[in-house]
Formats: sequence, C-alpha cells, structure tokens
Amino acid sequence: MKAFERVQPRDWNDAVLALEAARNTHVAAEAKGAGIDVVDRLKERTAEPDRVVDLRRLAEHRTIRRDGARVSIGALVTLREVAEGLKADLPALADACEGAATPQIRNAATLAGNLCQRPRCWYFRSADFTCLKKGGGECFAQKGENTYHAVFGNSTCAIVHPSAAAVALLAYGAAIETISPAGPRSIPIASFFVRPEEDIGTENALKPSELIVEIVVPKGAPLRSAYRKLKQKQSFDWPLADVAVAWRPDGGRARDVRIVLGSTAPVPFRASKAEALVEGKAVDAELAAAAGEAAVGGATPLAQNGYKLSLISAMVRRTLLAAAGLPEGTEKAPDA
Amino acid sequence: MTNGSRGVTRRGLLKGLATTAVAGAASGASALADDRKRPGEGTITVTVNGTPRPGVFAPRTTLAEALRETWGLTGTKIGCDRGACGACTVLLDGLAVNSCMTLVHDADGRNVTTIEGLGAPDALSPLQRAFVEADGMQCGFCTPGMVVSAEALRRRTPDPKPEEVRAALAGNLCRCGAYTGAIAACAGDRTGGSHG
Amino acid sequence: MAEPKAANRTKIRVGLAGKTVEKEVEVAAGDAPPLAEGQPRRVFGSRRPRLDGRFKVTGRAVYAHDVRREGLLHGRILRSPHAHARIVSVDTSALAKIPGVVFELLEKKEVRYQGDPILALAAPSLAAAEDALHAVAVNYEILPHVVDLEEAMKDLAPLVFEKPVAERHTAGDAPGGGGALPQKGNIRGPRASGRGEKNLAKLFADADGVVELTVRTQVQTHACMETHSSFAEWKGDELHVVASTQGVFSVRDELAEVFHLPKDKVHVTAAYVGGGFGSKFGAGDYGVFAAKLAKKAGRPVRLILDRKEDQLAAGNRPDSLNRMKAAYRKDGSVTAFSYASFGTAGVATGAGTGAVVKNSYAFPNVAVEESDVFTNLGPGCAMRAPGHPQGTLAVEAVLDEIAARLTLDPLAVRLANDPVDIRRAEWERGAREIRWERRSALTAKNREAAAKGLPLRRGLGCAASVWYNIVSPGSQVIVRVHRDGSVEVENGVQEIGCGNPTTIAVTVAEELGLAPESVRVKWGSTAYPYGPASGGSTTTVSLIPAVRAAAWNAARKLAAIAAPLLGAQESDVVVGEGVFGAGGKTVSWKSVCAKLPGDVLVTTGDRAKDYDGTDPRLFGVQFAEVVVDVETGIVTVEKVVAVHDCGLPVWRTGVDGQIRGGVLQGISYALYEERHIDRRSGRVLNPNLEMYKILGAKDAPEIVPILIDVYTGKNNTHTRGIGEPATVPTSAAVVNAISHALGVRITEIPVTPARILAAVASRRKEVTA
Repeated sequence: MKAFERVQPRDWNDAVLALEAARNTHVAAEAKGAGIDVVDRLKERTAEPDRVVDLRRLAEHRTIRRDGARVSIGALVTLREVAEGLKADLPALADACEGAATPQIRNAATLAGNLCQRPRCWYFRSADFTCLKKGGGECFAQKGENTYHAVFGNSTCAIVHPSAAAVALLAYGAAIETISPAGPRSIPIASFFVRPEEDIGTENALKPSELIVEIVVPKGAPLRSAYRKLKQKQSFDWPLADVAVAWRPDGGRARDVRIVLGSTAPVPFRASKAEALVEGKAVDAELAAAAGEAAVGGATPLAQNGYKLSLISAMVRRTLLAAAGLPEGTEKAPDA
Repeated sequence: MTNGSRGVTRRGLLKGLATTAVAGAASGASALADDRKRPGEGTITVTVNGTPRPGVFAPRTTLAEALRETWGLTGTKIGCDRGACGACTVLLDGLAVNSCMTLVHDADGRNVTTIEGLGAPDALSPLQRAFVEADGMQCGFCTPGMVVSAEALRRRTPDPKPEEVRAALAGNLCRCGAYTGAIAACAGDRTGGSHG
Repeated sequence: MAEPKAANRTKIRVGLAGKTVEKEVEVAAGDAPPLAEGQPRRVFGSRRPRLDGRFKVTGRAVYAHDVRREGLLHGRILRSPHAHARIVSVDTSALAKIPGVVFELLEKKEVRYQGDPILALAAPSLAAAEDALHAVAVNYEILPHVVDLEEAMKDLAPLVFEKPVAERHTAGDAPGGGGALPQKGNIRGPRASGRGEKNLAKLFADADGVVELTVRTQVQTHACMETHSSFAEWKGDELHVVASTQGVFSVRDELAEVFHLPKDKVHVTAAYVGGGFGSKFGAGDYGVFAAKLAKKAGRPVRLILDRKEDQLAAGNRPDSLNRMKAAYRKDGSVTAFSYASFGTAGVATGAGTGAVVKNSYAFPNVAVEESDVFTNLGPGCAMRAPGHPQGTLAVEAVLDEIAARLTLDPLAVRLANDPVDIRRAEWERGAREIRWERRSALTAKNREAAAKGLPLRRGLGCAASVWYNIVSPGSQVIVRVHRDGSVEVENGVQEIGCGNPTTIAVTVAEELGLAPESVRVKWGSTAYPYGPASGGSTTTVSLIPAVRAAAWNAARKLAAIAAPLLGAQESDVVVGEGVFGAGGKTVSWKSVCAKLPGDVLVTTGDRAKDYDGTDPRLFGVQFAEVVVDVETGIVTVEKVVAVHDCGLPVWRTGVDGQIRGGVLQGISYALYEERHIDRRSGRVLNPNLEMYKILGAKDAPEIVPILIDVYTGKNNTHTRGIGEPATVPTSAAVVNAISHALGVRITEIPVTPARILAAVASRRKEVTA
C-alpha cells in the first residue's frame, strides 16, 4: 500500500464533506467501508489515494429496519447480517449474501460495499496492465484470457459485475438511497448500474462524493423468489453464473416476472426475452427450460467463454423451478 | 527425489549477485518511507486477548501486521495477504475476520481474540484439544486460522452439523489437505474420521 | 559413530503381512535386528495425536515467517514484470533517500520470465521496504517471449535461451540424473529410455489392437501456505539462518558454498515449516539475498516472498503433453507401449513424465522419449512425486481406453498387466471398499438418466500408484538417557507436516518401553546429527531405522546394567513397559537408569545400508467415485478409497494424514488448479490464491485410507515412505471416473466446467451422427 492519510468523519454528512473537500483541493480520495475491496486494490496499488475517508466506524446506517411497505438495509449492514436477518423477508437476497465470498469476508463486508466493489477482471486487478477501464487503450480480456468474462454486452469492456447482492436486489426492484453534496436522492436499482459504453471509469451511477446510505426493498404482495449460483469450487470461488428470479403469483400464474443474470455481463442483467416468455404463465419444467434457452438469446460469447451459455440456461431453468417449488432435477444422482 | 528437476537459473543467479553500495541512512526525513506523522494517525487502543494494547500506527498498517510485528503475536499467519486463505483469521468482537484485510485503525476500541488468546500448549482449549486428537493439521501453518474459524462457529453453534462445519471453514485453505481432521475436530468427532 | 563390523547374514520373513516368505538378508553389524512378524508392538504403528500438535493449535509453533529480532530488517525482491526483456538500466538513486535501506543488485542483463529477480533490498519496516521497492526505476527493452508449450515447440518460436543449457546442481538441489542432451530451438531432448524390444513396430503390427491417445496436464504450483522465506543473522563470521525449508542440511551446505564458509560456521534451523511439497530443498535466492543483505547491513534480515512472487517464481509442477501408442492383446494385456512426453518447466528443466509407463505395470516392451521445452515462465522444480501424477494420468487413460475398446472391466485390464502380489491385494481390497461391482450397472443407470433428461451422472474410476524405496544415506541419531530416567533424542530433521517429532518419539518409546510423550525429541537444526531432507517419501525410511538403532543400542546398554539386578544373562533381558525383565522378574526403568555409571548414557544409531529384501517399488491403488452435472459441468468427488503399501507404518495417524493430503492435492490438481497466462504479455493473470483455485473444506470428499502392511525386509523397521505414492494416482482415478460418468474419454486436466460441457457436446454429436 502507498502511504495515505486516514480521515475519520463524525457522521455521514461529514464523510460527504470530507470527500468533497478532497475533490475541491485535488486530493485523490477514496471512501472505505469494511475495506475488503478497497484494501485489496490498495495492496495491489491499482488504487493509490492520498486520503481514505473511513466509513467503517460510523454509527448510523448499520441496521435493518422494516416498516409495512419496505425493508431498509443500512449501507454498513454486513453480508452476514443480511444472510441471517432476511431469510424470510427476501430469500433470494439472503441466499446471494450467504453464498458470497468466505465467512470471514461476510462478517466484515458491507452490503453497500458489495454493490460498489470494483470488478474482479484479472487485467483490471493487476497493476501490470493499464486496461481501458484504467485509462488505457483497450480491453485486454476481449482477445486475451476471458474464460470468466462477460458473454453479454462485452463489446467495449468484458468485465462481469461482481456483486451477488445486486442480482437479487435487481430482481426485487430495490432502490439505492444516497447522500451527496447535492443532498439525498433515491436511485432505482435498474438505473444504478452503468454499462461500459455509458462510462468506462465506473460501474455505477454514484457521482463524485456521493455515498450509499441505505438499500430499500419494497414489500408489496408476497413474491416467489429464488437465487442460485454456480461455482466451479464449492469453497470460496467467484460464480461462473448466478441467477435471481422473482414474480408475483397470481392464481398459479407468474406476474411481473424478473429474471436477473449475474456474472454474465458488465452489469446485472435482466433476461427480458425469458421474462416475457414466463410472464402470465404457470411455471413448469417445460416453460422453465424454454426460459433458460431464451435467456441466452443475443449473447456474444468470447473465444473462451462460450461454455457459459449452456450453464446459464440450466441455472435460469433451475432457479425458476426453485422459486416455483418444483424439483430441479438435481435431487438424486443415479446409483446402483 | 531422484526424479526432481533442477533449476537452470539458480546458480547463475547466485553468481550474478553483485556487490553494490549501501543506500544511505544519510538524508533527513523521507516523504516516501515515513508516513507516521500524517493526519488520521494518533494513538489507538485495541484490546487483544483481553489486554488493552495502545499503539501509534500508520493508517496503512493492517491488523495482521500490528499483531505480528508490533505485538509479537505471530500465531496469526499471513498466507496470501488478500483474504483468500484465512491463515490470518482472528475474532473481531467475536466474529471471524481476515486480519490481513482489516486496517488496524478499524480495530481501535474493539476486542480482538487471536489464536494465542484461545489457549496455551499446556492449557489447551477443548477445541484445540479436539484438533490435536483428530489430527486436524499437518504443517500447522493454516492451523491457527482454522482453529479460530472453528471457534467462531462453536461459540454460536455448540453442536454443529458437518455441513455447517464445512461452511464455517470454507474460508480457510489447507494445502496439506488436513481438512478431514479439522472438520471432525470442529464437529466434535475425535476419531478424525479414521478408517481402515 | 559405530565402527564398521562384519555384517550378519540372517533369515527373516518378508512380504505381505500374513503371507510372508523366508529370505536371507545381510544385516549390518551393530544394527538392530529387523522387526519380526508377530512380534508384539506397544506403540510402534499405533494411532495417536501428534506430539507437536499442541504447539501448532495454539500458534506457538514458530516458523521462519515468525522470527523477530531487535533491529530486524525486512527484505524484498524486485522482480521483472515482463516475460522477456533486456535490462537497459536500473536506477537505485531514490533508495539513498530512505533511511536504513541496503540493497543487492544482480549482475544480469536479461530477464526471462515475469518474476525474474533483479534486485533485493532490506529496510527497517515492511512499509519502508515496500516503498523502497517502488522507488527503484528499471528501464526495460521488451524482447519476444513464448509462454505456451506447443507454441514454444515450433521452429520459429522466440528462443528462451540463445545457447544450449546445462542442468545445474547445487547442494540444495535434489539429486538426480542429467547429462548432455541435444537442444534444438526451445526443445531440450529427447532423453530416451525403455525396456524390452527396441523396435516396437512389429509388435504394433501384430497386436490385437492399438490405442493412440494424447493426454495433457497443466502446471500446478506448490502454493505452500507459508511462502518461501528465510531469516539470516551474522554473529561475527558465523551465519545463523532460520529457513522455511525441507532440508536444513542442504540449506547449510548451499550457503556454506555460496559464502565460502566451512560448514561449522553456518547454522540452519527449521523447527516448523509451512509446507514444501518439493519446492523448499535449497537455500533459495531469497535465502542467499537475506544472508547477503544481513551481512551488508550488519543487522538481521527476514525476507518473506509475497504470494504473487511465490506463485510466479518459487517453483511449480511442469505441464505435460504425452503422446502414447499402446499395442494390446484381447485379454487387455499390453504388449508394447510407445510414450513421448513434452513439458515445460519454464526456464528450468525436469518436465519428464515417462517413469510411470516403465515402472507401474509389467508392460514388456516400452519405449520412452522425454523432452523439456523452455518457455518464458518461472522455473519448475520437484513437486510431490515429480512426473508421476502426469504419467499416471496418461497411462491409466490408455488402460481405460483399452478396456472400453475390448468391453472389458477396467479393473480386469489392470490385473492383466499387474503381476505384483501387493498390488493385486490392493486392487481387491479397494474394489471391495468402493463397491466396484456397481460400475457396469451405473453405466446403464447413467444412460437412463440421460434418456430422462436428468442432469446428474455417476462414475467410478481407478488408477495405480508407483513410487520407490529411496534412501538418503547418512542419518545419525543420538539418544541420551539420564540417571533420572528421562530420555532425549536428537536428529536435525525439520518438521514440515510429516510428523517427524512423533515418529522419532514413537520409535524410541517402543524400543525403551516408554510412553512416546515422555521422550523429548530435539529436531530441526544443523546443531544435531544429520537428518534427511523431507521429500521424495525418503524421510521416514531414511531416518527411522537409525532412530531405532540408537534406541536399541541404549536398550542393550541398559540391559547389561539390569542383568545382574535380575540375576540373568544380558542376552535374556527384555524391555517391558517401564521395566526390564528376565526369568519372571522385573526391575523398573528408573532403578536401572539410576545405576548408570556416568551422568548420562549416550548412544548413537546410523542408517545402515538397505538389505536386499523385496521389490524396491511402493505400490498403491486408488478408486474414485464422482457425480457430474452434465448441464453445468460441475464435478463432485464423493469418495476416494486409497489403498497403499507403506511397509510397516511407524505412526498410522500420520500415514492416514499423508494419504488424505495426497488425495486432496490430486483432486485439486484434477479439477481446479490452473495458471492463466496472458499470451500477449506473457504474464500470469492469477498469481494469487483467489483465482488460482485450491480445493477447500467444502470440496473434500470422504476419503478411506487403507494400509496393506508389508514386511519390506529392507531395513530394521520395514519402513517405507507414503507422501508421494498417496498423490500419484488420484487425479487419474478422478478423471477416469469422470470419463465413466460421461461416457467420453477426458484427456486434459483440469477438468473444468468448460471441458465437461465440451465433452458432453461432443458425445451428443457422436450419438446423433
């Protein structure tokens, strides 16, 4: 890590002001929560701020609150707290957080940090490469090593968005509550994530000196929802694909269907063709399989990641079946 | 190892070691090396294994580094220094965390329990004794982190199921492959799952 | 130590326990008589907790990483970020501004891999050392590189070395063959070997069938949890080193050579070592740097590689490309086997994989050609059973393919090629444990699942292990018995996880009638008598017979003191638990010790030469059961049965642990571990433990270690090693099980989801075509 100065703000407003003051005086500054992502980049020296504004000790926005119509999750609530606290309310989100990283990281990492973490692309993470996202001239993954990279929307930059929680939150239609020098605002999660074509330098819509303070999930009519992730290695590993689905049951039919793909594109990705296919119908094995096929329509796989398409199809099918409470086909292996 | 390979370059390297000048301890304060006097510093106090430990640290100091280099608690190991191997696991206010990814300033005013705080060679904790009896180790380098992760689970779930144990140890790598014994120890099975 | 005396010719029983046969062997005079079948043993061969466990579970075991001293400097190494470059200039002027920094610049003009060292420095804090590293400016001229095995084999590939390269040896290198070999382009070799007919053409022409198969394996890094590291401190003209090493004596010898010091002025300790797996035999560049920097600074230096350096530059198991052609008869027996291997150890040599095809089965005619291919990547080195997991994966795939073509049970094909009684017993035992008889029914059940559109398949696979009885000569052991009855035993051997302190204590305790816990073992230092390096499954076999000899000598001396107390002849005195006895009478251990003529009884034991005994090979078999999800490509290994010959195990708990560990490394190698390299820059993209995937707790299957006791008739305890044999067949058994589950031969590891899905797609094409 390069040496930096640490700023301990008194509260969230103070933190925003500290970031803004740094910006106005041209001091490179980063906000840090638990620091799981930030410290990683500091150690790799892909981030070399002169000042770190530390949010970890702030008293506010560290709890989960429920009122009638919504669940509000403080920015500093840890993945573990989400996984344990919201199993009943938001099972897909709880499962996404439960399956992320390692127990040690889930104990520290915050939900806001999970949403804002930078991509895990190995070209991006290595100080040895200056890729497009870091101000260089090209995305090295496109013609390089891309086995874990994006199969959709990869024509500018082939990162996959690393947040598991984002996949579930997009399925639930969450809102991201922020504060900034311009005041508070609420960003619908559908417009929170930013494609490389919109802004190569970031993965979200946060403006300079803007901080997430809360993630709000509306609680309307009860939903059917599920989250599934596929990892090569079952102990800590980044997913090859993850899927969240949610719908409003209406007399056996699925309404307001959301099928979200993770680890497949630079942003969490709604499979709209698959959603349209399922909308208004009763989910069964055949429909789920068709939705799985539809979900990968329009994909543009790179040289090494075409294999992802069939497993994404399978994961979409299984996640739909899981949400519908139907068998996924993996219950029992053949035996003799 | 009769079939072992031999490095081509090593001898060349040794021969190539040149004798060059000593870089000086000459000049005054270096902006490069000395970041101790920067804002955000000040004395912090971390309660380690029940003992308050005051200290002055540069902001970039990790908890792992402070434990090992400043406080001499070398039971906490650094294996990957990126939160992927779990050798550095300690309890921070009772929860298992990677001390290599925790800045020491983030532990100010908090309770840290390291492997040394769980027991001593002549006063093993029940879980440490179970690790010894189930042989949940080989080289032992990952073992402190493994024991601390197991301790974190057992404090919350005194009688865990094997799946819960595996999940709790999923952030601790053991290259020797002593997982079976570690899982058995954490699950309270002292046979180490031995067969045959 | 003991005077050379005439050897005794003795008749002993050797072979599989329960089926031993009599054999006359030559036992060195002064050596303990070999353990006999049926001789009761109290603690030798028992299961028990490791004696140093309490230090490991409490964080009190001190590793090289943990050494602290007043005035300690922290060492770092500056390494090339480029795969191949000329060093135009190195600007170290900024280092002068950092207080307390010393550095060593290598006299080299070219770097040949990412991670190639250029300069080492030491500074008073970790942060200062890191800052100093970043303050050095190196100007490079990029040169063409090659990082891919098959690209490097091409005629016009960039050359890694302009001139032919000779294999080099230092005291720290593992011993082995060498010799001049042709070098053309980046290919060094082939080295030819074999047995039987030289010309296989006629055998191929006359065969009932011929299989041709190419099998590829990837690079595997050792990824020891404790990265390579060394602490060095000069006291006057004497060098004191704490090393993370598999061989304190080889480190001492290498440092003595480098610093032109007599061996008595170099002191190396390594009580606890965080894994080695073949990568920690020598002093290492880091070890030499630490000592040089310490000398220069006049202060102690600790140099710890970070994980990236460790993954890039501290060794690896080379990759391999194995082209095979085998002729067979209708019964599955192989008549001829032609085997050509290519592999890259980066800028080093040692990628051959041909030992297995010669040594594992009784193939009568074998022709092997092994070639090293240079690439601009970090040097490979010995890794747990060098060449053997690769060669086993290759050969066992061929045997499975022969079985498939002949519609024979794969096990029947093994038995048709395997006359060794130990192995045949192991095949039988393992097949029973895994319930191998389900295999053909499973094939049918998998087809039914496919017909129903279900995603899961189950597979069974097997493979054989071969390794060798390798003795590193020269081990010596001192046993001290004090008048108060306390016992110390000294040997310099290091502890890297194999449990030497425990095996030593168990062996002494057995001989002296004591509890292992009451034997104080002093280990891990060149201050004690020579002990073997920990590697190649040589440690226990090289050490334990010497331990027993020393303890046996002590027991004989004590028996002489006890004899008059018992009113018996010295030769009639036997050692019991805490007593000496003869003719129905006993005297206590303590009362005999109290009568020692001096303050302490000191005896020594040497590792006597091996007797001729039995087959010098170590045998094993493993069976794997897997479930494969054909829609996602995810493999779950459910169970591995590992049946091994470890001679007479000294400490069964430790042997079990070695087997489990070997199996898990094999699974990890078969399924997960892979170095990803950017071809354009020649850089490794995942030099970390996040994306270099190593098996974790959730991926560990049920493992059933089974030991077949063998009276090897080669040393006084019938001891053999187990570390390497345990990992040799695992990846092959797992891959064969996956191939069974899929009904498609898998010929490349790691078996990633991408490879599984490609195999499934190829089968689908085959079926519909």
